[in-house]
Amino acid sequence: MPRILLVDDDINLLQMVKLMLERAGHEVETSSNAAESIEHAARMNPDLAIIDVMMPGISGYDVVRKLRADPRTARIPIIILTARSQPMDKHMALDAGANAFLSKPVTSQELVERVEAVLRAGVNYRVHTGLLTEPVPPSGSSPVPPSRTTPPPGGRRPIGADDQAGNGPAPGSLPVVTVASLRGGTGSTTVAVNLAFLLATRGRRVCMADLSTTSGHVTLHVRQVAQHHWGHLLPAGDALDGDMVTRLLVRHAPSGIAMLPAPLLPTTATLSKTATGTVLAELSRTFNHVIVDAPNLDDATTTALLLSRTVVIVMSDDPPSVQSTVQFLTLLQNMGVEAGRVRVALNHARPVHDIPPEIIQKAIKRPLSAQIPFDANQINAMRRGVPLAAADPDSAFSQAIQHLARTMTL
Amino acid sequence: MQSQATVRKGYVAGEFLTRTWRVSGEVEIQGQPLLDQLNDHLALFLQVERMFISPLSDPAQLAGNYPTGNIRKDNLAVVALKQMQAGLPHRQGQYMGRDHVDRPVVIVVYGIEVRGAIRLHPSVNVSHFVRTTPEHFIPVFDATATIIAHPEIVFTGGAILLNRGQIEWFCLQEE
Repeated sequence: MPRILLVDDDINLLQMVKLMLERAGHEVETSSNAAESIEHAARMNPDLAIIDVMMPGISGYDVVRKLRADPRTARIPIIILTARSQPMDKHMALDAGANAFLSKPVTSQELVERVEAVLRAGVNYRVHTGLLTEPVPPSGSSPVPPSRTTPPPGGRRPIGADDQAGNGPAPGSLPVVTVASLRGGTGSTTVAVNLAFLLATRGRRVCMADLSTTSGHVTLHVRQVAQHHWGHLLPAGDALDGDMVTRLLVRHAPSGIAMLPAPLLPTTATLSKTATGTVLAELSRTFNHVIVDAPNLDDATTTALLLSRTVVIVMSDDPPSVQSTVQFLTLLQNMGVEAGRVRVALNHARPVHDIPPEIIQKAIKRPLSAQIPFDANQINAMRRGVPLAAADPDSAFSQAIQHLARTMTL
Repeated sequence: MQSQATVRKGYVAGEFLTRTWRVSGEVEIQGQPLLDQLNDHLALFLQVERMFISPLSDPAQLAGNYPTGNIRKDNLAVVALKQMQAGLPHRQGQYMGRDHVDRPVVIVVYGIEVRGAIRLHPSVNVSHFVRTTPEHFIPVFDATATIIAHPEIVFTGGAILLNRGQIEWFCLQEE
């Protein structure tokens, strides 16, 4: 049974967190005095320490530094739990030597998930939101040497860990779902938006990236006005950093979904392969899921297709769409996108088909992952800015989206 | 309902930014939500408990802590709150309602650029509202506050309450 040391000057919070962890099967000892907690940790030698930042006398950051400096406690994985939840606080905590950062309020599920991920990953890894794991960088003040060669025993694969070139994420390594179609009018944006809303209603942190070069419509679906878009990244070329990407995100307040919109005016320019890799890796660090709307085929979308854990091809039941889908599947195969990552969804499915699903499945040589029915309310949903997956989760349309999500590796 | 480890019951935690300081602390809201306390014209100061102070130029560095303290409200620039609900007044209808829409704004207050959304009924003219509402503090939802002199320092919040009396300029982001 893992043994955890909790350090917080707030007795009520200490008891609350202790109860949460004991319910999850952990053995917990508490310390309400920051100065004494260092000796307590040396005596107890816990499997994990959870430390508050704001404590009278000595701050949580100082406690972490002292624990890291003491050979008896240097290898204890540490989570910082604090009401100071700004980005600079997270950087400070990680620089001090913590392995993870959690801000209050925190749910018991969030806490237990992070605790277990840190216990699995160990002291040489940082565990971020979404349980993404990365090695502790050598520049950190932690004395624990990072190990890029040892895979983390738990959590997800570190971004870029398997990249042979060493300059970007490995294919299929990111928690990205790219929704694509080579034929216009099949409703790929509608599917992407509804998928994002479905995941958001499950409490997941979701970001949508609209990689369209022909006036993207993701923001239109939610009646969001966006001044920023990925076009603002173009002048920087490949020299992008996380802040540049984060600053462009538009937050859809009711759902909590973040969006990287497309330029409103159609453009011939697009993000380079390197820049797209950087953008998607950065979003993957912050969000549980990144949904990419890729209605065209260019450097940016092909990169997204390569890096995505799941690719959804949206098609309709007319002959041109079937032909495009067959060609798209061949293209993906040639690109090296494994068949197991690809799903095909038949959208606008009607009782009377132009081409029956059985024939379509024979033509594409694989089963349809979902048949999404036409729903007349879709246009009203767009007018209201509330996608059907959120507005009417019991509708046949929403059920089909849920079915599609169940078939995916998310 | 899933349990949460949070600040003390009946308190809300916030980041109180003045021109030079970042004050993290908790305010008792048993009688009145924080926004109503900030807009209470009869009280010049706001009492904050478990105060932790940092210079705004180095906001992660803890410079001091005190069990209780008071902040002069008219010297506040913004208050950043993690959760949107914490930024609503007792009469929530002004900022919440099924017909309300988000209106993206940029507001510069006391050297801090706040970007986010003011949520109002579509019939309300946002510029007119910001210019004429009798409230001292107004909420901007899903907002970021960037220190203009140190653009790398960014505060985010489900709600950021900003002091109208310290606004330098503001504009709507809608086309």
